[in-house]
Amino acid sequence: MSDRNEEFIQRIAQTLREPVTLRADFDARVMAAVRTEPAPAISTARRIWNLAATPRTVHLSPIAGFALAAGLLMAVVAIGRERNVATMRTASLSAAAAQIRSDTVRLVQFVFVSQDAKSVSLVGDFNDWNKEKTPLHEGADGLWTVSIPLPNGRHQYAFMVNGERWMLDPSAPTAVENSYGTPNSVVTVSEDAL
Amino acid sequence: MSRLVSLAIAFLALTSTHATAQDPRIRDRLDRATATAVSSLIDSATRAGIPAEPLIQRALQGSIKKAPGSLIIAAVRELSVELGAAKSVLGPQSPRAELVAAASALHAGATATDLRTLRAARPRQPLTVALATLADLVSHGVPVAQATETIRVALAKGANDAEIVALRRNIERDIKAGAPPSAAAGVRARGLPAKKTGQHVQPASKDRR
Repeated sequence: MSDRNEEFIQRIAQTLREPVTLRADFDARVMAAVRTEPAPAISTARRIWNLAATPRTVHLSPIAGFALAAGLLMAVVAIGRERNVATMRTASLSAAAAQIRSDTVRLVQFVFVSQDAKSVSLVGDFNDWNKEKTPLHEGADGLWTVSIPLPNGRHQYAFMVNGERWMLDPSAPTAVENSYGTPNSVVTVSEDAL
Repeated sequence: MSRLVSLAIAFLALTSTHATAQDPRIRDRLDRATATAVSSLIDSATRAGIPAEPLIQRALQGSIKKAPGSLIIAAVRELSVELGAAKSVLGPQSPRAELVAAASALHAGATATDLRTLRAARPRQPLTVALATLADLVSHGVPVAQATETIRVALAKGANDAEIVALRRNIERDIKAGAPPSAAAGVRARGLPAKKTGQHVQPASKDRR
């Protein structure tokens, strides 16, 4: 590839790397638009099944676990004494267990330039360092891009080329932390700066 | 009755196990001994009010880099100590992102005193970007004392996060153009305009490294 083409691609890459800013009311506007859509018809039985079958993570402290066990023991004893047919009681999950996180997020675009890569994925502390989760999409002239929402904070990441080659982002600082002998790139996301 | 007691004990054991259960990501991606040790570290950290997620991510990073278990355990322990130190300085209300950035700054060589100084310079707003920038400047070759002083001056002049990021980019550009990192940081910090009328930025204290 000529130097001119290389320069052209680098200019495109530089533009693509510019952060995309979402307005603060972006989530609210999207949710308002979603709410105006008619809800899909779901039968009551299906709804109950979905409620029962959806996995939930419930964090219990040991003392809460003990209290729950003690409660169950009391219930079992009561049932045993009365010899009645047990009535199934459904305990509702507390609101805390199903809370919706409302961290501020920003859409961040990652760009990698490679003419000969077969695949490129993004790994970092925002996707469990899982190379399957965030593949980059190949565009023209070896430009690989992906945009993902990131919460505020300092994030470490790298590109995985062809599923195995660890590559840093040349446009980003390198992390001072290097616990494993292979450095990472860093992006810092905040409400008014990227 | 004894059957009922046995049932209760079994349930209690099951519940207690769940209460301290390993994160599935840790369980699935680390060998059993490493997962157990890392989970124990995370449990201890969580009890001390340290967020678990950065520790989990540090362990998973070791997994994808195929690091040996001993190295992963050491890395998680090191981060746990740094997060704990950051929390003790920045306070229990410090958000996770700020703690992570502070841990990076400590890792880069900043001291607890440095963190207190920066907190005093910006007492009511998050220091996430400022501390992350401090670490980034060190990674670009700026000595930690100069990097800390650069951020302190920027905060004292009332720079916001966007201006601190711009400051970092300018310093990076100067370094790429051949300027010595320390000089680049010093010149750019001095060049920042003070936002408040009559504001006087104290010079660096004499007992700096």
